[in-house]
Amino acid sequence: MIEITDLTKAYDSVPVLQKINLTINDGDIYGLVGTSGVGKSTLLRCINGLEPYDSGSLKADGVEIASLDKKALREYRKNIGMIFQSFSLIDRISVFSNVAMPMECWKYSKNEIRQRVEYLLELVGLKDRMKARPTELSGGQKQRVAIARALTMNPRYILSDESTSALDPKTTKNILGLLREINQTLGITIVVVTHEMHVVQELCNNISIMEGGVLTASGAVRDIFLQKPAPLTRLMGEEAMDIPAAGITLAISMDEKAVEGNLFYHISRLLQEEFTLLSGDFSANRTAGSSNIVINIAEADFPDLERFMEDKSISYRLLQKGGFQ
Amino acid sequence: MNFGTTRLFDYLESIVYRSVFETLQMLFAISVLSILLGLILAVLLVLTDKDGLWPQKTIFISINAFTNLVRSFPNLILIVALIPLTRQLVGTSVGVAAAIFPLTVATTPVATRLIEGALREVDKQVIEAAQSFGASTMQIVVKVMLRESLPRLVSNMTLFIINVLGATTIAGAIGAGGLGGSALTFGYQRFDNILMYTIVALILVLVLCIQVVGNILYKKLK
Repeated sequence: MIEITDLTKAYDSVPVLQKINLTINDGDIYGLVGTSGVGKSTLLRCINGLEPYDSGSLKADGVEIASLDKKALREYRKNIGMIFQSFSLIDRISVFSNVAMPMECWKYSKNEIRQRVEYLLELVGLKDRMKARPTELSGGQKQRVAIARALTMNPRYILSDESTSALDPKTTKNILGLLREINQTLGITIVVVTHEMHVVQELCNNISIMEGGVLTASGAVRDIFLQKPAPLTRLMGEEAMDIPAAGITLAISMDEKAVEGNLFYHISRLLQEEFTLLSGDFSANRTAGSSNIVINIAEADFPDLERFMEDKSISYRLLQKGGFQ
Repeated sequence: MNFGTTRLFDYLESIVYRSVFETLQMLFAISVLSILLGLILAVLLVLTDKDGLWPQKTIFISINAFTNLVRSFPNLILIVALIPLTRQLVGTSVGVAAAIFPLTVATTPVATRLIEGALREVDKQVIEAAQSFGASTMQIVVKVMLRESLPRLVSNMTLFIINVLGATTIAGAIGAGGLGGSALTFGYQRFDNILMYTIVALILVLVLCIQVVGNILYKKLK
């Protein structure tokens, strides 16, 4: 578990992190989202001790990172694998040697290294490219090698710094699938820094949105995308929605599992198509398997709809005119 | 120009062959010493810089100042300026042995800058990745920085060794011996152009050899 309280950091009196508070639970996939330069990468580097912080506390499994000396810090970093946007592989040595490097640095025997590296390359599906140079691989393959390298020391955490930002959509999907698999089968906690919304929606359970060194919104991905707080709409470059004065406007999280068939269809039949669709975000959210819509209905229709939704335990949120309830 | 009489063939063994040998001796000794010293200084420069792995302002500033100061001297002036020190250390100020010390001092800063340049080209994130799996500073220098920059180092050092060759010939003007000295004393000053240009051609052959070996190594490592 990573517990961050009132974490503050400045570069030459320019604040980069201001009173950051967040907790990342074991087994979670946690997203740190924001535009570039808001401090999310710095926060990530504070977690593995690559960046010192000025004040506040950052505890990993109960240990304060700032209290570790150089040797203890190296020891601590064994628990943490890191993957980067630019893959960060050593181009002049083979895929095998790249993955083997952390274990070489920690002086494991040749035999142990061979077994572990072969197992990991099998896991990421690149065992047949073991002897290749990273330069011979595609972007997605390089990131797989980097993931295998991050896993060599059997870490408790993986920190991902924009690891899919340089990849095409299909490769991104593959890599996200691999990360999810690692999270589920190996139980590794993953912290993801990204500016890509679809990465968050496909991968993360919880997120924090960062703006100018401050966490402006935190919560479960499902709730955040349902509630669409101002930081999220700013991040997505959306104008705040114009909510009609008349009728009732509500945001509905359309959980595919809640009802048989298409929920949208059920709602439109119930309301006899007498409603306005204000916004619809149908991109799959893997944690909820849902999409979000915002509709405006006549006040008279609300009790029916409310009963229907309570019946099926569908989450929804009433939006007041010009703001959130 | 006078291409009439030449003593090239009389001098072939006693002067020319001996000069080739002396030049190779100086070239080897100076290159090895200054590349080793340059390597140490360059690694220290990169590590102790403010965004390096071991920021140490005083060390960085001292090495940086020394490098800049020595580099701003023309080689010939530096050798002359170092004569008293050379006498103290080597016992004489002429000959191959006496040339090695001042020329190593003169060329080390060049080697330092060339190695530093190669090391600084290593991707910062690759170093960060190594830090993130707990590699020590020493391991990062050896296993990441030197390994990753090796082709660049080789091509820079090829350039550097050719530079050293140039420096040894210039040192010939003030008694270092070798091809440069012989070209001046037995060629230029005695108006024996054939001898002089033969030596020039020999130097050219040496330069080409170094370049070709360097290129082959670079291609192999890349």
